[in-house]
Amino acid sequence: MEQLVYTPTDFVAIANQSLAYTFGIAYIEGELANFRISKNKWVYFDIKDDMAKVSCFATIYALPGPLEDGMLVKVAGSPRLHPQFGFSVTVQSIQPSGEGSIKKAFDLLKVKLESEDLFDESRKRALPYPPKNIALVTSSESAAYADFTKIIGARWPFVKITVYDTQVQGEAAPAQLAAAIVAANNEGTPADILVVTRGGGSADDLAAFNDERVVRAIAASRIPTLVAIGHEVDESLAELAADMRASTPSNAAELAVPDKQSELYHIKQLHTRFAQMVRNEINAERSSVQQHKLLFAQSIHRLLQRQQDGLVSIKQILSAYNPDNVLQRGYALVASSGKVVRSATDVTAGQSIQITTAAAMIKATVTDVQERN
Amino acid sequence: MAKQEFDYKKKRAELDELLAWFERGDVSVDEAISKYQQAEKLLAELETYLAATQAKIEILTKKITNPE
Repeated sequence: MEQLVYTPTDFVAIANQSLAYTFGIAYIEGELANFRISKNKWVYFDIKDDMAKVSCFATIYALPGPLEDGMLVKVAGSPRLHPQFGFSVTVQSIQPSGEGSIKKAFDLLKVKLESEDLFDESRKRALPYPPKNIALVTSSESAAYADFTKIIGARWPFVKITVYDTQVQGEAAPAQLAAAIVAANNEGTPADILVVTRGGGSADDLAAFNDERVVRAIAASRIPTLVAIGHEVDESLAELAADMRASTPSNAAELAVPDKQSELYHIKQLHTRFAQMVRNEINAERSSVQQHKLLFAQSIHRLLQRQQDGLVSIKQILSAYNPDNVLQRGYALVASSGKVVRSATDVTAGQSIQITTAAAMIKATVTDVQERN
Repeated sequence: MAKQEFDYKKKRAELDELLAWFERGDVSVDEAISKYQQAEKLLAELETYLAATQAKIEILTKKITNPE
């Protein structure tokens, strides 16, 4: 039997073929050890149990968030024999596994993102209300999708919903969710609001919404975000990064749009209110006009009264000047050639004069004129 | 855009503005009547829009697969 002798290159090539054939993608769950990040890009770690350890290699983009040695993790990757560096698993996804590790990863990422103010209240924007276009990131086969669209349809059927259909759990979910959020933001006419939702599930099911890639995509969304993950009690980092949080997918629909019926009722009430307001305005104006009318009448009356009073006193003064009144008392008016005689020089003896008394006109001739005093 | 889309949000905001105007008081009757006519027109439009029975949400689905 002939011995098969390989060159190292051939051996590596054939070993890799065998590994690919045997495993394709291998899923390995174990304890994380010797975790380190190089040049902020390459990630090296071991995954181990009591008996064995496996070297792993990943890019930083495959990480769900900060990880620590000792965590239980599940990796998906292809085992490979590197021509220079030996055996390692090239990791496509790595997820914390088991309640303790999931909680630990959650806390680590929360602290990290909090320190960047990603959850800060001051970052929260108001959602346009009501929106005309909604971008919905969820699985189109989920109950969350059905609940959300059903309630929107019943409350406010005037919207257009663009669904970005993604997986919402499993190893592919984080990258798909992040890509969907980016895609929605890159639309030529972006939606008014971006809704990210899924229904309840185990901590493992909801892990994608505590993934750094997803949380960052939500925080970076230019479209205001509304996020509802799981049930009321579940708190996800995706929700903390959102502009608005809803407790369930149904609740998200209720927060996103008004209810047509109650809006209609409100509009009808406004109608009555407007009519009342304009009526009040007209009434107020009418009574003001009435009041003005009264004031005018009063002031015209006063004006006439004053004029009348003035006339009476003028009449009295004038009557004192009436010469007739003087003649009545026995005085006479002496005139010569139409002019009243006032001094001795006005007439001479022999000249004719006219004497007017209250009751008579007398013609006479002057016989003598003398100066008085 | 050939057809002018009905902008509920905008019309609703206009209505709120008219309401605020009325509530400020100190208004002239001429203006009040003209604003009331505006409000009535808006109210009627909003009512008609909301009462539209054939309204139905439009859903478009885009499948997102794994990037790269």
